[in-house]
Order: sequence, then C-alpha cells, then structure tokens
Amino acid sequence: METIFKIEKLNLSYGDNHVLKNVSLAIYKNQVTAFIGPSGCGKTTLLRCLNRMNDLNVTVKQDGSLKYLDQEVSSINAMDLRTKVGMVFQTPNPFPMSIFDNVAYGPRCQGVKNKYTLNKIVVESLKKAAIYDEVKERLRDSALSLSGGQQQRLCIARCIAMEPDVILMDEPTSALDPIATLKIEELIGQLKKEYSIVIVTHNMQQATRISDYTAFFMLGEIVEYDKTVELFKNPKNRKTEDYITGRFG
Amino acid sequence: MRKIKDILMNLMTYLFSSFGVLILGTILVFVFSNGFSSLSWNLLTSDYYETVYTLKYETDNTLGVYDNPNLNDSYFSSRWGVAFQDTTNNEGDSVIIISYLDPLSPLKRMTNGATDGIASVETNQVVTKVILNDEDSNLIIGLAKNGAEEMAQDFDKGIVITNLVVTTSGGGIRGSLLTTLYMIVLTLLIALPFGIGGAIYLSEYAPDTRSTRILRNMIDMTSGIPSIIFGLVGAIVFIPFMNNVIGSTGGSIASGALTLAIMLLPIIIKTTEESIKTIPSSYRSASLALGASKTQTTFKVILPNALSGILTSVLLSIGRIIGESAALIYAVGTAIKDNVAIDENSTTLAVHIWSVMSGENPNYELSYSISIVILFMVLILSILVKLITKRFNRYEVK
Repeated sequence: METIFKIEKLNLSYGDNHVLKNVSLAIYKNQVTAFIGPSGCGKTTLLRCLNRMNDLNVTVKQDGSLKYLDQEVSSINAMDLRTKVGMVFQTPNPFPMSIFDNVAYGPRCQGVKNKYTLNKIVVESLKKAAIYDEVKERLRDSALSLSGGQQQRLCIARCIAMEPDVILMDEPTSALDPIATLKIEELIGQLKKEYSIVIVTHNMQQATRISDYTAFFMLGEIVEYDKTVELFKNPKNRKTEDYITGRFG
Repeated sequence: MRKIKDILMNLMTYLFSSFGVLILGTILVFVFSNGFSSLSWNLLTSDYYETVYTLKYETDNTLGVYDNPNLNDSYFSSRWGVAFQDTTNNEGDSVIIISYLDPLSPLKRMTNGATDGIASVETNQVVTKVILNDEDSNLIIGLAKNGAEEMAQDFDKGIVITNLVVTTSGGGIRGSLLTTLYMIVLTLLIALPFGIGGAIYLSEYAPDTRSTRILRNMIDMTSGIPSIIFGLVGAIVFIPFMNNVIGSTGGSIASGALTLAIMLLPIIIKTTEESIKTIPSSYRSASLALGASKTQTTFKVILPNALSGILTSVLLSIGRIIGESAALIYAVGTAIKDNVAIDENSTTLAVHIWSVMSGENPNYELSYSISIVILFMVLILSILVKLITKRFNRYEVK
C-alpha cells in the first residue's frame, strides 16, 4: 500500500508544554485513518502538523521527520501544501458569503477567474460532497442560512474544490446531530475512493464504522496503531483495551 | 428587603434615563422652535455676501399698463410691471424684495451703471433705493425704510429711472454647506486608507512587543487630545505644508482636511481594530487551510467582515468633521466664502455658526437654522451608512 505521510520520531511542544512525544506513524493512500484518544492527547495537534496549521502558533517547536510523499513537509511552501492537504474543522465554518462564493473561494485564491471553469468546479464539488441536490436552487443564498450538517458538508465541498490528495477532518461531526452525522459518515465512505482521509474523533463507534486504520493516542504518545478491525477486536496493549471498553479512568 | 432594594434600583434607572431623554428632547425642541422660522430653501442656496447693482432706465417708449398679478402682501406698480413685498432677509432685518416681475417689464432691459451693459433685475432681489424722474423732470426718491406700498407708488409716479440700487439677498450658507461636504470627502479620503491600514497592521501583522504596545497606548492617548491643539498643529505644520504642495496662501480646505484626518486617525484605527477582533478566528483558519495567503485572507475575508466596523468609524468621523470648529478656526480660518475651492480658505457650517455669533450682533436665529441643517446632514448621512452596511452584510444571518 502506498504511503502518503511518513512520520518519524516527531516531537512537538507549545512553549514548555511537550505535546507530541516520539510519534512515528505511516498514513496510507486512499484509506481512512482515525486518531482516537482522550482529550489533550495530541491527536488534533498531530493532525494540524500535517498541513502546517501549527505554524500559525509562534510558540510551537517541532523536531523529527514528517514527510508528505517523500518530501519533508517543512520544506514545502505552506500554501502549496494546504492546497494538496485540505482540512475540515470541528465546528462548521463557512464564510459569510453565498454558497457559490464559499466553494469558489479556494480556486479564486489560486487565480481561477473564468466563470465557466468556476461554475464547473463548484457544481462538481457540491455533487461530490452530496449536498448539490439540496442547494442547487439557491447557490446565491447565504451559506449561513444552511443547517449545521449542510454547513459541514459545504465545508467539505469547499475543501474538495481545491482537488486535494488528503482531507484532514478534526472531529467533523462533534457539533452535529445523529442524522447529520450519519450523512457525513456515508460521505466519508464515498470520498475515500478518491482521497486519503485522516479523521480525529472522540466517538469510537464512529472510528469502527468508517475507518480502515486507527491510532490510539495517550499523553502525546501513540499507544497502538493497527487496522481498525484488529485494534478493536484484539487490542495488544492493555491501555487500549481499557479505553475502548470504557474502563479507562 | 430585597424587593425594596430592587424597586429603588429600578426607580433610579427609570429616573436617570428619562432625565437624559428629556434633556435631549428639550434641546431638539429649543433648536427647532428657534431656527425653523428663518430656515428656508433660500438660506441653503443663496450666497453669504450681497452683490449690489446700480441700474438705470432712460427711455420711456415701452412704459405701459401691466396686469396686476394680485399677489398677497404685494404692492404692484402697473407702469413698470413690478410688485414689491415687505419681508425679512436671512439675517432678520426687514427689507423690500421684488416679488413679481412682468415678462415684458422695462426693468428687464436696464443699463448697468458700472459696466454700461444691459442688465435685468430679478425676483427676490432686495430694493434699497430708487431715484426717478416724473413727466415734469421732478426728482422722486424712494427709500426702503418707507415700505413696499410707498415704493410701488413712487415707481408709478416716475417715467425715467436714474438710479436703482438692488442687491441679491445675502446671509445664505451655500458656501459653508459646500465647504462642509468638501471637508468630509477630502478628510475621509486621507484618513480612511491610513486608518484602515494601521488597524490591519496592528491586528493582523504587528508582533506583541514593547514597541507595539507603546504605539497602541499612544493611539489611545491621541484620541483624548483636545481638538484645538490639533488646530495649532495644523496652523503651524499643515498650512505651510499645503502652501508648498498646492500653492495655496494661508489656511485652506486642504490644510483643514489634513488636520482633521490626523485628528480622526485614532478613532478610525480603534473602531476598525475592534471590529477586526470580533471576527471569528475560524474564518481565518478556514481561509488559510484552503491555501490562501495571509494577504488574501486579510482582503477577502477579514476586511469584508470588518466593514460594518469601518462604516461605524466613518459615521463617527463624519460627525466629528461636521461638528469640529476649534481645530478648523486655526487650521483654515474664519472667513465665510461663497466661492469654495480646495486651495482656499472658507468655513464649514460649525465655523460659520462661530463666525456669525462672534461678531458685534450675534445672530441667534441664523445659528439655530444652521444647527438644524447640521442635524439633518448627520441624520441623512447616518441613514446612508446604515443602508450601505445592510447592503454589504446581506449574507449575515441574524
């Protein structure tokens, strides 16, 4: 299986706070990889390393190796990297613009001006994010008039419009109701044919439902990383077993 | 016990707030009741200075009988086809004006005493004096103080006008109104780019170091400096500066606008920065995560969302510009002008009030009328800004 991210002995700290400790991990192409673990274990931090969103924090210190397709991430221009590695956030955050402008934002920033090209990108992205049928009549309406679940799928469409290789999802369903969550999960199942997906989740059922690989984090270290089926059926580490059975305390 | 305390607190709140409303209402009623009588379209459109014309009419060929239009309060001279009316001018003095002029009246084909050209009197001009000759060449002298009725009778007696003195009605505020608009536009043109740029730098780019903290504090302090000090700075720095740059002599609208722009910078920077701070950081990270550069994020996401704050600062600035007098007295001057030019001095409405009130006989009524004009200007501009804000915030869901 092709590796898309290769992480070796990654250490990261915010000021004096050592958040990631000697993390080594390989993320595979066209697979869904889930990061699980208790709050504050560093899973979101690791996710934000993958598209250099941590750079925005000035106090961050990082060492070790983090390679995207055999290229050191820190040597890639952050803006170019982010067009290839998209991100969907915890709370839906569409811009206060029309639905069309939201999806067209990324391509426009890259200098796409042609109306027909933009139109094509927007329609295709919305279709791939399984929201086109719901919004095709009102592409000029405000994106903020959509429901929470629709907003999140719009954010996924906005991400897809950049034609990325990888989509990072930071607890994408934690602010949504079960029905909207189900829709997003179905969507993830469809998207993995074309994209590699890394998802952070607090919901272990969700991890078992949608992911192919799962990494269990605790206190900034990877406790166990395996195929999801293996990890949940035969956890090799005692801590993992405690956590997934809910006995973790 | 708690009940009594609550009642007392509520009572105090109601009392103080109603007191504030009452005072505001009283001021408005006072200004309107005093200023409305002398407020007219004529006041807004006419010049401040009177122009005096000395005219004469020597042939008697076309003197005839003209139809009386029978205007109320007007007295008609059928021989000359002109009607006079007693009224008061913009400054409150009683004058005689020409209320009607027959299209064929000989007063339309008079000779200007100064230039020997053909000249015509117009309706609404003020008649101050007339000297006529009757059939027997006797002199008839009509004076304004005798009233419109006698003026009409004097005109009917004569067949030749040897001297007619008419003036355009003065005391208008057209020049000051124009100056105010010029001042608003010019000041905002200078202050907004610098203010918004400064706010963007402070909120988006500036590192949190000692020097930027000092800078921030200095901006806060600048907004507390009395405007008269800015006026002095304007007089010492900006008047010579503008004299060199655009070749003006002495204070000009340009030097005033520059002074006001410096004065408004802290307000614009503060309001814009505050509104940038309220923009959710999730917009910023969403934009950056889509591969947008920091500049693109600032101009495509941050600025459009800060627009309501920027427009609020524009509104505050317009209020300050319209109301400012102390700074402009030094940085521009107090001479009221009818012909307004950016490189010359003239007065805004507020300084106009100062000018008419600081003379030997302060003109209260005119001041109140100008106050009403100022209030309406602020009202119209506020509504305009609100409409623009609404137009740009159409994607916000309330």
